[in-house]
Amino acid sequence: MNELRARIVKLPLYKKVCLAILALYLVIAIFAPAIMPYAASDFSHRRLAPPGRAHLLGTNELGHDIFSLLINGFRITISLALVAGFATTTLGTALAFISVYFGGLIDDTLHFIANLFLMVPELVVIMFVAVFAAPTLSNTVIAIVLFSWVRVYKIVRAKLLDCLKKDRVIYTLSLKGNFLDVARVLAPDVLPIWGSFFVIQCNRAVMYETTLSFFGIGDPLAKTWGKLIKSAMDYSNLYYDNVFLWYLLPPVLVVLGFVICLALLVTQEE
Amino acid sequence: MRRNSVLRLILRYILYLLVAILVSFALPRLIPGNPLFLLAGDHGIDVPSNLLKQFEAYYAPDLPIVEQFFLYLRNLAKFDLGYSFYYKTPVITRILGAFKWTMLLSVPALLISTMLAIGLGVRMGLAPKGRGASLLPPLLAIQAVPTVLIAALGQILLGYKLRVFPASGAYTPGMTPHSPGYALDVLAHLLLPLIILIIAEIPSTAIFAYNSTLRIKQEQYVTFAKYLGIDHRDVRREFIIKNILPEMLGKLSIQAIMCVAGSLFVEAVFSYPGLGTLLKQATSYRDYPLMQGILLMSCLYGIGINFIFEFILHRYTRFR
Amino acid sequence: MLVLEQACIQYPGLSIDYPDIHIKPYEFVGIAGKSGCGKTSLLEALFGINFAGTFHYAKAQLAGQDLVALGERKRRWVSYCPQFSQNALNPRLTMEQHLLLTLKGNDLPYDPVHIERLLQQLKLSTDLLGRYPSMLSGGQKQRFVLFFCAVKQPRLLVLDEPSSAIDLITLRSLVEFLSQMRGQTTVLMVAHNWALLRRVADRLILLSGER
Repeated sequence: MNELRARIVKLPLYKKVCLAILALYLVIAIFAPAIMPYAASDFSHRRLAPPGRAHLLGTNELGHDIFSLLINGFRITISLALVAGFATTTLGTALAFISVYFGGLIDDTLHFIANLFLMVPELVVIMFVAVFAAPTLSNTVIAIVLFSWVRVYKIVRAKLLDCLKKDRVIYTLSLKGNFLDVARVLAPDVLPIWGSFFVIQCNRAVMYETTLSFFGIGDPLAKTWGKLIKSAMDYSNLYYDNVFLWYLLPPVLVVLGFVICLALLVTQEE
Repeated sequence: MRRNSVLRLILRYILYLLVAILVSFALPRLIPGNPLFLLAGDHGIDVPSNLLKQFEAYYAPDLPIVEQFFLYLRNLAKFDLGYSFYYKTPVITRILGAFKWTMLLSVPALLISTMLAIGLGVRMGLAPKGRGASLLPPLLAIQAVPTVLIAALGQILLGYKLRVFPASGAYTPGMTPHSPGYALDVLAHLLLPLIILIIAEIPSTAIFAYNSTLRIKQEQYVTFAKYLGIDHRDVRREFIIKNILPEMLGKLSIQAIMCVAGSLFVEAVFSYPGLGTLLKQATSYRDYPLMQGILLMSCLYGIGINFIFEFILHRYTRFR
Repeated sequence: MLVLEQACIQYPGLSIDYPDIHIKPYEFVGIAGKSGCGKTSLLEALFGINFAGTFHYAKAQLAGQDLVALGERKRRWVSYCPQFSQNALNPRLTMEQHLLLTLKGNDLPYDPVHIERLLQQLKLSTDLLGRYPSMLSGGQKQRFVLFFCAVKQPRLLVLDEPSSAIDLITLRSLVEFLSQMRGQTTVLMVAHNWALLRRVADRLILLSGER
């Protein structure tokens, strides 16, 4: 714990700011039900009310309180990001381990598949799978996880191969041990990469979900930030009377803040 | 030996191609419910019975799966990608019609963004006292934002609020290629999506060029060039850029794919009539054959681009 | 031409003092000393770009001006021919392109007679101008590095171990070339090869390597 604190203190200022903002996001997500003035499913309000005391960000054309939807979006989007980020990074790392440990045909096959995936825009494939599958939030996560592990795999695999070369003796000895032993020996080298990829993949998951939502893909009932943006953009009179200021802009800014803070957190220090 | 390695390269890409085709064939059939066979009526689209017959003839759901695959291959060989639910025309005509708009947007974006990004990245790398690094956070920030959001913000700000540019479409409705001022009209509609795509594509290439520059600038020939008093602009162009170019070529092949992908999202926001808008319509009307066609085309495009670049690189290393 | 008084170079955990050096115009001065006595460090500190230590001095002047204050302007007057001649040439430029860029950077005209004479002195054929570094031998590369240094028409030519790791032809043409440079420009040359220094230099400065 002390070590963690020491590392945080050493970070440059902008990273501390990012960390603080992300912590705030997390707090909002955890306490979302307490913060939301109305239930997310409650559409009994006056429609298209401008911002006021009763509705901080007004209401939408269906009579939802936009502020409540936004806060609810924290909970849904951030859990999606964490789950997808964790699963993608773990899958990529696990496949890289398998690739390096078994080598030969298994390595060749996995590497071949990874190279093929890199040639195709992954978001198009994700979109394709998500459209064909039933529109549920978990299917969206599965689609994202299944098709974005490739970068993690490539980098971790390269790192593992490097480790084998560097300390060949130790690892050759341990290669006689079973899979888990080897994984344990290599873990200290891989953990830092795993950490930064986790952050990057959380970022990507939100990126992908926002884009999928924009294309109208995914669970229409799971009101992620992406879905809020989409429904605002679908509203035909968005640009009259500055409605976009409280309808479209808040979810956009929330997404921007989240992805940018995540991205800046993983830049290499000088 | 050399001939052998070219042959291996070609064989590898044929294998990629086959796997990609297999995946595009199998994916919709693997997903539970097999939506290809869900009749369009389920989605509220009324399908005429003659179209339904064509549809059944194309997918032949009653045949064994292996025969379905061979049928799929045979149809592909005839450039037959099936019929669109929504447009009720062959998928291939739709895709080819949209493809030219996507190229009109993505090719200039690729060229301009690559040139700007190399210029920027190299300058960042050469800036004294590592000051170029201060530009990294903003670049990373842009890179982290979904392209659709950048496009949407650009559309709101420049298209709707400031009205500097036409906010959607590729030309003023009602115009045809023979109308007077058509070219200028197309250009005016192209500008905003193009600028946004360029902004979205610059960061990754610029960061790449920056890292390459940091490495090349340590080379002793760069030090000696400075000792010789060679003009710093010449050092940048002849010593740095010429030497990072081979790596940039590899990056360009990834970027050529990213640019088309980015173009899809920008088009979808601006209702630009390219593949992106087609994809958006395909997804919102659940037009599976059209989606499958677009997926296959983007696979073929990606594999093709990679093959070309790897081939060039192969030739290039032989020359060295 | 070059004045250096009470110079001292410090690296972490290492400090090197130098004797005072006064070099008159058109002198050919050799600096000798065992390897590790700080010869290259001195040149790096005076003329280099990637000098890593700290440099203290009472006086370090080039043609009456302070070397540090001169900054990059000193490159107009000084040609610094570094030790790393094998990697000093850009693999993507021909020798002719190197030549043209060097001339352009120093605002010098293309003088075919002068260039041909210099090449001849270095036993380099003009055909080689069209070649890339990878198509040249080690000795040829070394001589081209020297050629580019000389073509700048510097007021002070600084050579760091020009005789290290070269073949016999190169050594012979080098000696010949250096003898011809005598009286044409001021030369400061560092070498551990005593015999070579004695043959070409007007006088020698010995670095003892005291620290």
